[in-house]
This record gives sequence, structure tokens and C-alpha cells, in this order.
Amino acid sequence: MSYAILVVDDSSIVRTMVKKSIAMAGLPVGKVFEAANGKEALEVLGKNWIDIVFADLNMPEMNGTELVEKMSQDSMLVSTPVVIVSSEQSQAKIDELKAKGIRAYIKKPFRPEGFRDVVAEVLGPAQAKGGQP
Amino acid sequence: MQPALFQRFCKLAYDKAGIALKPGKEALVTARVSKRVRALQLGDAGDYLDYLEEEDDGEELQTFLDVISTHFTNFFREPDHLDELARALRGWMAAGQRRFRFWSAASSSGEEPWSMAMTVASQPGADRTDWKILATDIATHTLAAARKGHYAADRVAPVPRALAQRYLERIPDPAGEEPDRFGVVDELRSHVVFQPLNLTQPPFPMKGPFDVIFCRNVFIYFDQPTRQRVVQAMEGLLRPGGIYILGHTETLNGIRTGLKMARPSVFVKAGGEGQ
Amino acid sequence: MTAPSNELLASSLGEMLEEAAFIFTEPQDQPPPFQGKAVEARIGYQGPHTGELRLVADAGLAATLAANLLGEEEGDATQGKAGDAIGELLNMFVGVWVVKLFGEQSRCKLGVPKVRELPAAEAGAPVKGAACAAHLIEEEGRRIDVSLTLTGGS
Ligand SMILES: C[S@@+](CC[C@H](N)C(=O)[O-])C[C@H]1O[C@@H](n2cnc3c(N)ncnc32)[C@H](O)[C@@H]1O
Repeated sequence: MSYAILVVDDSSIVRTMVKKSIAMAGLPVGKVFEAANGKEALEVLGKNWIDIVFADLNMPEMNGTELVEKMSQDSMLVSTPVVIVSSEQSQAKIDELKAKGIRAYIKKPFRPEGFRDVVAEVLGPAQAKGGQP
Repeated sequence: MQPALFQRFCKLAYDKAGIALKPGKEALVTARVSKRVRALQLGDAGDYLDYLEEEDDGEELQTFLDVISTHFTNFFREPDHLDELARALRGWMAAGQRRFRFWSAASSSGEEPWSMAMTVASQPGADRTDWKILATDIATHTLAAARKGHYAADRVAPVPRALAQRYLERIPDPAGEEPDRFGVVDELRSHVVFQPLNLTQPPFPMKGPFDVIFCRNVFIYFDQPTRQRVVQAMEGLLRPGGIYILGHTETLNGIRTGLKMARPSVFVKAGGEGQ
Repeated sequence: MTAPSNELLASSLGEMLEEAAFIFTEPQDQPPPFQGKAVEARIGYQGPHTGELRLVADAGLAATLAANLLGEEEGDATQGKAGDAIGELLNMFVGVWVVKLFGEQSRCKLGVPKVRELPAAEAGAPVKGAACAAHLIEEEGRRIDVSLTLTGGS
């Protein structure tokens, strides 16, 4: 099976970097959607089945925290796993987001291995194929 | 050349670049210096030395170091080291590592880092990893040639056929007078970074860590205390489990280091497997 | 808490450039002037003090940075991404910067980078009222500056 992913970041460079890293992690990726902020992300989520969301925090229009809150209030989206990929390093902020239901947190600048570990954690170890890049 | 004058050239080479010119190199130094004397239209070797000591931008000094040190190198020189690189890379990829940093520390005219790049790029799965090679050398002219990556046909002859087909392209002389040359393809270029660096002056500006360091055939220029410093600094930039490679004729005998010999000229830094 | 300084700015940016883009730089007190165009990004943060970081890079260097972040050779795929690259670099930098200053446990509000192009003369002018600043030079002599202006707080 392959997964539909949504990458949310206001920088197109970061969206590309995230997509590449996910591919390197060995996650079988099907459809890939992109959004430049939380608002656009909600539109994509409203129209498409998404297996996992990778989202930045600090974005114009609607930031990542608001996106997470909105998703947790929506019965259709509450169980969609969200991974935050952000330059915020503060543990306090990470703990707060975990309490809001995010599944994992990746700090920027990131390495592809960070995605491998997270994918294993969120979708089960069988998905992160260490042995077959 | 007067012994005293030769001594002063030796001291300059040593102080500025840690290059220890052995006694017996008088003839070489005399010949190469006299070329520079002519090029700069100076009177004699003594004038040239004054020129070197007085110039403030260090440009002629680079040229001087260039001409007195030799840059001999080859594609796929000591190919077992490239096999070592390939083997290590495959093992690390199988263990899940996806980011790799390699360093060719005395890259000369580029044959070594480009050989490394061809080796890495041709490993199955490497296209889905983030890999980079840092190539450094003290000689800036040589480094410029390395970056350009254009070679005469006889230079690229040692490249294994399959790799040559994939990673070298024919570059005809625009005037159609010179024989064709061979250039490394763009696919490799985004993976290799060239940077001037004097190895005898640690600490280095890089933070590392590197997975593999090639430090081949440059120890000849250094005396023992310099080698000690260089090895120590490089060891610090190698990750645990990383590999350190010297030239075939070189050893770490008499050097205090935590690096463990895996086989002659190949050393491993203790600690971690994979990332 | 660590006090901001020129040295900390320089070393933090140097590390970031190597880690994120495999670009190697050295600090230089008297940098060569900017040539041609430059790209500027600014980002604010609010924590124990409030500050604004400014990054200015030679436009060519910014393009190289974009290519390196993307792992591509400079060309069509990286065309027009120089501003985005500098903005993102600063975005990553501010996260690391506030942790270096205030530690992992502190709460900071980080802004969103604002990016624009600058002519060389304006790019190289010293930032008025900057608390600290650093200039880094990469191997081809291209320049990238970082400076911090304190806008409030202790
Ligand atoms: C014989 S070549 C070796 C090239 C390549 N590593 C190989 O094994 O084929 C030696 C290189 O070391 C460089 N070198 C000499 N002294 C150096 C120093 N202090 N720092 C960095 N490179 C140096 C020279 O410029 C030359 O290009």
C-alpha cells in the first residue's frame, strides 16, 4: 500500500526538502499534496484522504498550532497523524503541541534519518525500510 | 642556490604551509624558483624571497607553494580504498543511514574526489540518500582545475568503463585543434564542494562530522609534529565508526591517536555502528 | 542565559550553513563590498528580550544556497528560489539562536521571515543600532552578513 501525504510549509524549498526526506525514509508515497499555510491545508484535508500531515508552525494566514487545533476539533480529521517540522526548538513548545495531539516533532534543520525514525513511530516499523533504500 | 638561501625558502614553506622540504630538494627549488624570478622579472632568487616576504596579499606565496609541492594523483589511484568506501556505504545504508559526508583532504587536481563521487553515486540506492563530498587542498590553482573537472583522455583512462560511460562526457575543443577532453557530468557536481584549506593549521573551519576521510599522500609534506596535529584534528571531525584512509605507503606509526587500524592504511574510529 | 555577541552570531551562522547547505564560511571583520544585488531577510522574536535578526547575502550566494538546500545543481529547478532560501535559512537560524541564548525550556515567539532584494550599496551599509553583527565569507569570496537589533525587553 502507499500513503497519501500532505506537506504544509510557506517555503517551497522546505516542501521539496521534506518530500525528498520522506522518500529517503523509504515510506511508500502515493499522492503528495502541498499547502503554504494552515488554511490551505484544511482545504486539502477537506477534499482528500490524507494518511499523514507534515506541517510547519510559523506560517502566515494560519499557523501550525491553529491547524492542529482545528484538526482536533473535526471528527473527520482528529485521528489523522500530524508531524510538526519546525525551527522552533523549545522543549516547552514541543510538550505543549504533544498535549494537543501531534504525533511527532522534527526540528529544522533536519536530516533524512529524522523522518525515517518518525515514520517508523507513526505508521509502524514495517514502513521505514531500513534495509532497502 | 646558496645553502643559507635554500634554508630561508625551506623556513618559509614550513612556516606558511607546514611543507617540510627535505635536503636534496635544492635542485628542484632552484629550478622552480628561477621560473618565478623570470616571470616576475626579478633579479635573482634572493629578490624573489624578499618579494614573498613583503607582499601583503599572499598571492605569489600561493604560486610558490604550488610550484614547489607536487600534485601527483590519478583517477582510481589505490582502488582498494574506493572499494572500502563502497563497502562501508552499503553497510551504513542497510543500517538505515541516509545522510553521508565524505572528505577528500588533499584533493589535488580532483581525480580523488571525483573518483569517490563516481563510486558513491554508482551504489544502488545512493540516489535516495543525501550525500556530499568536501574536497580541499592548499594549492588554489590546482583546486580550480579540480572544480572544473576537465581531463585529457589519458588521465581518465583508469576510470572503470561502466563508470566512465555514466559519469564522464566528451568535451570537444571549440577550435577543433586540441584533442577532446573529458568532463565529469553535472549529476556529480552538486555533490562535491571544493574549498581551499591548509591542513597544517587546525582547527579547521568545518564542524563535521564526516563518515569517511581520505587523507592520502599528503603526509610526505609534513614532519611528525605536524602529522600529529593533523591526525588529531581529523579524528575530531570523524564520527564514531567513521573511516580514515591514508596512502598505501603511509602509516600512523608514532602518532598518538584513538584510530584503530582495520588493515594497512585503513583506520576506524571507535564507537557507534551506523548513525 | 547567554549574552548575544558577534562571535556567537558568526559561529552559529557558520554551523548552520554547513549543517543545512554544506557551505563553508569564515568570519571576516573587514569583508569585501557586496557585488551586484543582495538578498535580505528579517525575522523578529520575543522572549526574555525582543529582537530582530537580519541576514543579507550576495544574490549569487543565495542562489547557491537554494541549490544546496534542494540538493540540485543550480539551474531551472532552483531558478528564482534565492529569496526563499535566505528566508528559510533565517527561519532555521532564529530557532537555534533563541535556544543558544535562552535555553531549551524558555518560551519564545518567533516571527515569519520577510524577504526582499537590495542593491549592493544598501546591503553593505552597517545596520544602525545593531547590538551585534558578523560577516562571513565563503570560498569564492561571496559574503553573507548577520546582525541583531534589540527592539525591547532586558
Ligand atoms: C601527491 S598529492 C595527493 C593527491 C591525492 N590525495 C592522491 O592521493 O592522489 C598531494 C597534495 O597535497 C597538497 N598539500 C600539500 N601541503 C598541503 C597542506 N599543508 N594542506 C593541504 N594540502 C596540502 C598538495 O597541494 C597536493 O595537491
